[in-house]
Amino acid sequence: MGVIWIKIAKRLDKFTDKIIDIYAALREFISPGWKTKNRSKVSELKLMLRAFNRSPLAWTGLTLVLLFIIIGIIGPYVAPEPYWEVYVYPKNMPPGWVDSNGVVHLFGTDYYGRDLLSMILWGARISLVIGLAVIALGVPLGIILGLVAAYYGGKVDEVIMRIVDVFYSFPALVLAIALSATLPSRIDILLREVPILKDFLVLLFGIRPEHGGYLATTVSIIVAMAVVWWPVYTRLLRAVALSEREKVYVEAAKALGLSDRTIMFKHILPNTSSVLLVTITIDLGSIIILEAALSFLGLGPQPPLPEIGRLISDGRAYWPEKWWLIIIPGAFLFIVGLGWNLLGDGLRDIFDPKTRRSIEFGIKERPIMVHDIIGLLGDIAIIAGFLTAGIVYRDAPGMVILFAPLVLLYVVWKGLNTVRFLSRHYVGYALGLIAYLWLITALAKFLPSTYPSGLIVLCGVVLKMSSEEIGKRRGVK
Amino acid sequence: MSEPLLSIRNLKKYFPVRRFLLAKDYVKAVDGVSFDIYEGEMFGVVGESGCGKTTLGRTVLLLTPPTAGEIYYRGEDVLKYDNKKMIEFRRKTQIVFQDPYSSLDPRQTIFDVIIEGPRYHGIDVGDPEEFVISLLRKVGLEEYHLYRYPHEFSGGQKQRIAIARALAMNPEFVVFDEPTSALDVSVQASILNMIKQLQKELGLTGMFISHDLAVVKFMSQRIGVMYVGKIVEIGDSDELFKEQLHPYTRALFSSIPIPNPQKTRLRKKIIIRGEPPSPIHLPKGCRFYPRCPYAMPICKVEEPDLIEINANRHVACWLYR
Amino acid sequence: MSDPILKVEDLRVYFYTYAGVVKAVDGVSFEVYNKEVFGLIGETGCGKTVTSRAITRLIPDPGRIESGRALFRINSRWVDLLKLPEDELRKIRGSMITYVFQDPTSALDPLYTAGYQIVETILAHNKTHPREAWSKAIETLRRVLIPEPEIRARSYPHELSGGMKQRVVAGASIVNEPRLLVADEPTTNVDVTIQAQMIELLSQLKNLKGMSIILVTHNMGLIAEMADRVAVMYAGKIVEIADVNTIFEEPLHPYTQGLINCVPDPTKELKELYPIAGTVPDLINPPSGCRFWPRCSRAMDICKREAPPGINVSEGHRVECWLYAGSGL
Repeated sequence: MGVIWIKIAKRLDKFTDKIIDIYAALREFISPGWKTKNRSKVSELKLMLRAFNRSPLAWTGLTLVLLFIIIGIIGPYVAPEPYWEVYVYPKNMPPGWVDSNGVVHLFGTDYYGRDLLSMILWGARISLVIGLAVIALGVPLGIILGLVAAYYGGKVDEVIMRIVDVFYSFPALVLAIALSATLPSRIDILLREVPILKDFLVLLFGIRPEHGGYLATTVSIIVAMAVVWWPVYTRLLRAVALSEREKVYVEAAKALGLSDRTIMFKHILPNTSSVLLVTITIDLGSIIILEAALSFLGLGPQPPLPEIGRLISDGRAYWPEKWWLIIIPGAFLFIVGLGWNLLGDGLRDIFDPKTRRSIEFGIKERPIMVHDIIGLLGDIAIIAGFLTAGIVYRDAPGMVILFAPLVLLYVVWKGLNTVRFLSRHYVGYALGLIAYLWLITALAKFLPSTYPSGLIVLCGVVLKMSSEEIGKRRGVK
Repeated sequence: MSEPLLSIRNLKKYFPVRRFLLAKDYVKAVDGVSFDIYEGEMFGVVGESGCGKTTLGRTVLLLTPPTAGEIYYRGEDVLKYDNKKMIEFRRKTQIVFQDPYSSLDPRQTIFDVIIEGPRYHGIDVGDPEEFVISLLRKVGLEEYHLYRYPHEFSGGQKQRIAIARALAMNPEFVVFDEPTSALDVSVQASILNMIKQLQKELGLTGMFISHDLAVVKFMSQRIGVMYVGKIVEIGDSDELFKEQLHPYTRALFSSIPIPNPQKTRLRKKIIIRGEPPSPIHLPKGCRFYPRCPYAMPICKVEEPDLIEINANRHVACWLYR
Repeated sequence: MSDPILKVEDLRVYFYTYAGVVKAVDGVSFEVYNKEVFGLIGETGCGKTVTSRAITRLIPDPGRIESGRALFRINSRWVDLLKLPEDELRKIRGSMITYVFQDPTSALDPLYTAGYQIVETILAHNKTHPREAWSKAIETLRRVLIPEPEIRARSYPHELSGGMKQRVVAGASIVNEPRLLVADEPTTNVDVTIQAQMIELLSQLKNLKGMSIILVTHNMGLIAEMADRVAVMYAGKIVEIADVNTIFEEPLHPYTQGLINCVPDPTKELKELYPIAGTVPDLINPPSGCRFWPRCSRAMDICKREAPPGINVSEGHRVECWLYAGSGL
């Protein structure tokens, strides 16, 4: 995979370079002279993106996140059906169900007899807005308190950190539940008093103006989560700022006679920004999932507002016969969370000069060889095997039975492979294969449909192994 | 050599270290130091690592508040300055740090690094770009370096930038805290030449801190030798190299390697055993007596003060009482 | 003296980075004789440390030893350390060739006592009873001038001062009576008075044990004090190699001359120092021809085109410079 990705990465390099060039040209147009003043910054940005391009996982994350954001923005406009018309269709229909008008419903219908695909498109906007709002409310407070605590130290630090400790020692979920249970009535009053805020929120969430009354619970979980979330940033920023404060440039700034505020916000804060950005990225995934969890518990946006967690909760009663009610919104959440996390990890790698160097250094270019292709085919076969298993056999408990042994088998194979003696004599490979075959056959007695997919995975593994062997013979790592 | 620009009297800086719950010990980094620095001179401070010379430099500029003692700047007590006078003092005194790699904010361009101080203090510099370029030229850098970031420079160049930053404030007094110890010898030579020349050109008064005797000798007119928080000997640079009075100074000077194989192998070396005491648990009496070949009974009991041998030489040792 | 124990021939170590191939060591040859101190001097990034580590293949990723031989004499038989299987090389490392690195703090494991770490080194290469090894460890600590070795052997690294730690590291490296000790900036982090103790200690050990020392440093004073022969490295190459007096009295290569002139001598009256102009070249795209020509005041046309060959100007004095092209032996 590695070598093939490099070829792709080289293309991506050109693409990202161009993006930066266009950005630079734009800035130059707005304020002439920008380019000469920021030449270093431009080349640094290009280098960072090139490092980012070396990681296929980071790109997967970026793609997923971009998809989620695009769906979040345009979802309400492209959703084929409105969320407020309930009981249009029979409820809980399976994916691919065709209604009386001959319209295919890709994901089937939900508990309220609405098109599930449309509900996810509407729900994405709500998730996105809630996630961003929690960050926008919680992060600035956390940053300021963290900076102040780190910079002044002593008693100020003690007081702030003990408050943070109190918030930490209180279970976050319980606190959020308590707040979102008590806040709505007050927020309801607030929204009625300030109609402009209400209109703004209606626009933001992309819902019908007449559903503004449902906003109170939604806003209350935003507030609840922000309250739970800011201490994370205080701790993080304090830790990073403490190490920055010890650096000599801070002392140099003091020697210049700069004020504390200038030193904190002009010198220390910018130097913590990369850590902040990474954490915010990863947290956005967590916030969206926590929000879904709260909705699952019945807090947050109330029906008919479409909300992913609520969709899952509605499908609970029908598990496992009507698995799609849970699997489809669940998979959506999973992919969103995964995307933010992968992107965050990718960003961390390019911001940290140490890991960035290892990205830059760890790549050796060489022509693509036969065994690279064989390895890639192996990868594809393994993924395809798992996918066909999932598609062919949809029964939910069966899925669990199916996936668990496959994971187990993989672990067994890897384990045997790492025993040096065995793998050197091919005994490890042979044993791994036999164990694999035996388990698949045993499994197939209970679930015949896993048999073909198991074989596909097996083919993939064999391909992977042989590609590794050929690579070793040719002396390529 | 008339009035001292800066007078330090019995300066102390202790750092608390927690032992148990409330009991505290103190690291006596600077423990009763007195000296004068005269207008236009470079005062060298030499000592081994951990002797408190860096802390001394920072305390003199009030970058950390002293625990006790007095600092007089042009006869005025700096510790009694009000806010306005303090800002003025900050402008007039500058420091160049040891580590050029972390003394520049990695997110600032060189232009921002240098202009920040004057801009903050509202110093009229004319066209800021031209002002910075003229400073860069003065420290041996070029105009095209203006909008680059610190990581694009070598260690020596970074140190030049740090010097330009200090000069931008048009200071009267500059502390050089081991400005070349992180650099290679070939780079060190050019930086030292530059500092020396700038000092002459701008009439700067300075304090040059280093562990390298040869460098301190090259840079300064008078030298103070520090040992675990105290100055044990002060003297004229050339005279000090000719004859050392304090036994520690003598041992220190005899053990520096000289870049000349014949000289260095033939000379008589005084190798003192043991290591400096911890600045937390200092011995009673003279802090050098456990390693001193000339220790006398009084050395264990009472700490010697700096006494005047002649106008240019002070030494803290019972041998000369 | 004319009795080499290590012959390094045409050593090349390259680092494969994203930015390009860094030719850290590019064609280095030298010999180390029995019972001598061989000084390897140069500025940061000149490849001196990489050279000293490449001898036993201690090269971190993404570095690779491209070519060359490192012939080491074991009982009048020459073995090429660069071709030896890893497990055999491991037997040589730590027993016949040992290292003292710059930073004593990270060289010691904070979880074990000083004595244990020496015992570990003994047991890794010898079949002795642990109790015997322990008494040998204490003997070694005494030899490296640690006061009260019985007590110190039971102390953990954090209980020891910097100079003491450096001596424990030195003790661990001599306990197996190596033939060759590689000291990489052994006194850079210690004070002058401690450095004097270390110098004394190393020369005592050398005489006592009859081992050779490769002294890697940037400190001219230390070289003047200790070395018998000196190799001056610049940008991955040895530009001059001679005995220590020749290097300091009659240096031939312009870089060596510059290096000696730019170090302040405390015994002299100096009005000005003489720096070397320019900066160290980028080793990804080194200058064509001689790597020193952009900084050299005596550069000629040929210097820019062709790399100078090694010229033996007299017995044991080799210089890589076009200025002496006709004057070889």
